[in-house]
Amino acid sequence: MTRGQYLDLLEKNLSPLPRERVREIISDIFTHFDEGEEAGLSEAEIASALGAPEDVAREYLSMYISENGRRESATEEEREPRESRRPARFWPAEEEYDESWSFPLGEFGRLALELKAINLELHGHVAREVRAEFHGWRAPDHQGEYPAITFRTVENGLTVREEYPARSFGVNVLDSIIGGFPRLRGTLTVYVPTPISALVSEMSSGRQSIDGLSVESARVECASGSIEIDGIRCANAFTSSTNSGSQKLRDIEAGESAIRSTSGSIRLETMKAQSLTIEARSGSVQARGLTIENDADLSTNSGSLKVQSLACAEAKMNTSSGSLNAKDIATVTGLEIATTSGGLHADGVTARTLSTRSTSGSTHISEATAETVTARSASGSIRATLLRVADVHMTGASGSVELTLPHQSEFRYDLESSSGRIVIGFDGADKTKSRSAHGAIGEGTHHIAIGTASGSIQVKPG
Amino acid sequence: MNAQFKKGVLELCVLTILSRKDCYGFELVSRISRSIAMSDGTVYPLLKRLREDDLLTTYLVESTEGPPRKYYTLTERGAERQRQLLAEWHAFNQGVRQVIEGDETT
Repeated sequence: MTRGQYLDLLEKNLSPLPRERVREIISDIFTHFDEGEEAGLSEAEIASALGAPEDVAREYLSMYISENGRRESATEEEREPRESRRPARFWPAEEEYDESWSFPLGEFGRLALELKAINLELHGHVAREVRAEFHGWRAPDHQGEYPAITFRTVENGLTVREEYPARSFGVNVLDSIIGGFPRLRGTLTVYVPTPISALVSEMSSGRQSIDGLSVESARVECASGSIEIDGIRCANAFTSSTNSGSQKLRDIEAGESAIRSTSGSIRLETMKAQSLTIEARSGSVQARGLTIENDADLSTNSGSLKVQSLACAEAKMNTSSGSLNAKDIATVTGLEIATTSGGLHADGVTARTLSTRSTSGSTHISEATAETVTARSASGSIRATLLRVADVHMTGASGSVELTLPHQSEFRYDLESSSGRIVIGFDGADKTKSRSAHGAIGEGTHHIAIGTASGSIQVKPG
Repeated sequence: MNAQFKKGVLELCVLTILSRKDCYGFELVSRISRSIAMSDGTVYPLLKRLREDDLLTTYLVESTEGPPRKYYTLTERGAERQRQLLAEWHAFNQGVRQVIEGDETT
C-alpha cells in the first residue's frame, strides 16, 4: 500500500470524528511516513508495520468514545447520588427552534456553507448583507447540549456551519453508528447579496435549493441530499455534484461547467455555458435546451442518457449499459456517440462529422445531416436515414445495416458482406447481390462504404 | 500475547522511553514495536491520549532535510506518572513471579 492509499483509507474510516481531529491524526501519520523513509524504509514497509488503517482508525474511535464516557460518568456522579440516578435518555425531546441573523458580507464576498442534515435554501437578493433564517427543531443530546448553526467571518467571506458542542462528540459517534439520527433538522433560508465572488456549499444529507443567484464561481456539493437549482449566473466555473442525491438544475448561465453524480440522477434544463461536462455512474441523465460555446462531454455508466436540443462546438456522448437518446443536436464540428450494450438513438443531428459506436446495442440514426457519417456496431444492427448524401463508413459484424438516402442522391459505393445479403434500392444499380457490390449512382463524389460479416446490407432511397 | 495486556503496559513503555530521552514519532514507535510485537499504528492513538491527559507535550525541531520534526517529551505530570506506573509494575511483577514460582508462604 502506498502512503496515499493508506492515508485515504485512514481518513475515510475516521470520518465520524470532528474534522480538526482527523486533520491532526492524518498529519501525525503522514509525518511518520516521512520519518520512516528517512530511516530507509519503503512506503509499503512503513504501511504494513503500521497495521491495517481500519484497525488504527478503530483504535482512535474507541479511544474517543471511552474518553467521553469517562467524562460523562464523572460529571453525572458529581451531580446526583447513585440511587436517584435516572437512566440516560437516549432520544431526547425535540424543541422548536426559530432564529434569524444578518451579517455584512462585503463588496466581493465569499459564502461557504457546510451543513449536515438540514435543508438549505439560497436566494439571491439586492442588499449588501446576508440574511438567514432557520426554522425547524433541534434536540439536545443526553448531556443537554444543543447543536447550533454558527456563522463565522473568514477572509472577506462568511462561513456557515452546523455545529455540535465539542463535548457531545460521543453522541455523534453513536449517532453515526446507529444510523445518523440528526439532532438539528429544518430549513435554513439564506438571502445572499448578489453578485458575490464565490459560493461554496457542502452538505451531507440535507436538500439544497438555489434560486436567483449571481456569483463569479459556484461549487455545490451534496452527499446523500439532493440539489435543486433554478436560476444561477456564474461568470466562471460552476460545479454541482452529488453522491446518491438527485440533481434538478434549471436556467444556468456559466463558464466552464461540470455536473457529477454517482448514483443520483441528473436533470438539466436550459443552460448556457462555455463548456459542459456531465458525468454519472449509475444515475440517469436528462438534459435539454443547452447552448455550449465549446465542448460538451456527457457520459453515464449504467444509467440512461437523454439529450434534447443541444448546440455546441463539439459533443461527445457515452453510456456503457444504459440507453442513449440524442434528439436535435447541432455541433459545429464533430458529434461522437457511443454505447456498449444500450441502444442508441440519434434523431435530428447536424454535424460536420457524426460518428457512432456500439457493441451489442442497436443504432438508430434518423434525420441526420453531416459531411461524414461513421457508424460501427458489433452485434447490434445499424439503421440510418440521412437528409443529405454524405461520405458514409459503416461496419457491422452480425448486425444488419440499413442506410436510407434522399432520392436524388449521387454517390460511389463499395458494399461488402461475408454471408449477408446486399440490396441496393437505387435505379441504375444491380438490385440484389451477395458478398460484394461496387459501383456508382450518378456523378456523385460522395463515397458509401459498408462492410458486415453475417449481417445484411441495404441502401435505399427514402 | 493478549492485546489488552499489551495495551496496559504500552503506556508504561512509552513514558519510560521518553523519561530517558525525547523522541520523534517514528523513533519512539519503532523502538516499542522492536521489543513488543504490536503494530506501529496502535501507538499513535495512545500518544494522542497521553498528550490530552497532559502527560506529554510536543515541540518542533527544524530538520536539515525535510519538514521540522515533532518531538515528544514528558511533562512533570508525565514523569511522575512514569515513576508511579513503574513502581506498580515492579510490585505486580514480583507478585506474579511469586505465584508462578510458588514460593508463597501460606
